[in-house]
Amino acid sequence: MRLAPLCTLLALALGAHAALAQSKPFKIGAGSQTQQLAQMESSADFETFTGRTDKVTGAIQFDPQAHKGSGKIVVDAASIDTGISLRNEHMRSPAWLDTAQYKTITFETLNVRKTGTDTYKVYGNFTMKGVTKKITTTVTLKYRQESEATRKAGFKGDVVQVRTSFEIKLADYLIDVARLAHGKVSDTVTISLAVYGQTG
Amino acid sequence: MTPGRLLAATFLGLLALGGLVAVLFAFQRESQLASKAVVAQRVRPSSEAALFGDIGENIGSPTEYVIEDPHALLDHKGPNGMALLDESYLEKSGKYPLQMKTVRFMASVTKAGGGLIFVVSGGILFLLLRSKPAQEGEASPS
Repeated sequence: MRLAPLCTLLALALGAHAALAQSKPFKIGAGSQTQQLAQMESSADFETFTGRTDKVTGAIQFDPQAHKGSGKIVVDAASIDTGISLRNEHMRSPAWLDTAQYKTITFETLNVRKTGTDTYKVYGNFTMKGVTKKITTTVTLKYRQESEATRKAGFKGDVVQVRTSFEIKLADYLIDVARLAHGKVSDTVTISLAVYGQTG
Repeated sequence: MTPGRLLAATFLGLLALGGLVAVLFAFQRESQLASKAVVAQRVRPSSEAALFGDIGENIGSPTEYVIEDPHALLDHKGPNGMALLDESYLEKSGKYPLQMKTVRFMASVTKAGGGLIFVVSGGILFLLLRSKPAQEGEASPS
């Protein structure tokens, strides 16, 4: 009689372990840096410009059968290149990203819900310049099992391609565009990520 | 007309003419560049993206560019037949295409500035030419 609840608990634990065992760890930034891309696009009256970097790292847990997962992506803020060295200097300065103090920009998932074949609604924490805000974004995640094609493309093990794009208000992250560069930088910028994770 | 008035009138006339030329030039250059403008998506081709059936990674969002170098365009087309710009080629050549947004902004500033110069200097010139020069006796009552 006393063994029944214990057996149930054990069965549940084993079941949970079996479910977790399907989840695979994917490393981001494990291979060539050029596989990774993080961008920040400003669209102001004068011009549209993109700051971007290949220095993206992180980890994703993904279950290709259950289509469940979680992850964290880390972007090296100081390496973001806008194409103009003076603009890069401004962007790294304390008034903008303050990369001397806040070296990374991160996105960490809190909740992931499948919405389509390869699409997921992801709710998570976005942290920039020491400020963390909760955001919801649509992520496209494509999975490829290890094959000759994946090896030919330079990957080791199984591969996931993760893409997302969302908008943030710079004022929410203590960046006062109106005072610093009104008309040259937009108040709202688009953050885009295109990264590859591999199990090998 | 006294030499002083003649000098002032010449200066104002040249200024008004300069303003008018600037306005006409802005219209002409904007229309010339607009004829080469194409809405395009910058793409960095990669073998990694090809594994997933894509040409590469999009850089920024679709933007209206003035395409002076046809080699910068990829043979492939994007969604809805959108032109694709080869980011790798642009990086190698170091020649980034001008954005039509920037052209329009600069043209607007030039038109407004040139137009203002034309109106103000032309107006002063008009008043100067219409006003009668002061008589010698009136100018020095002593």
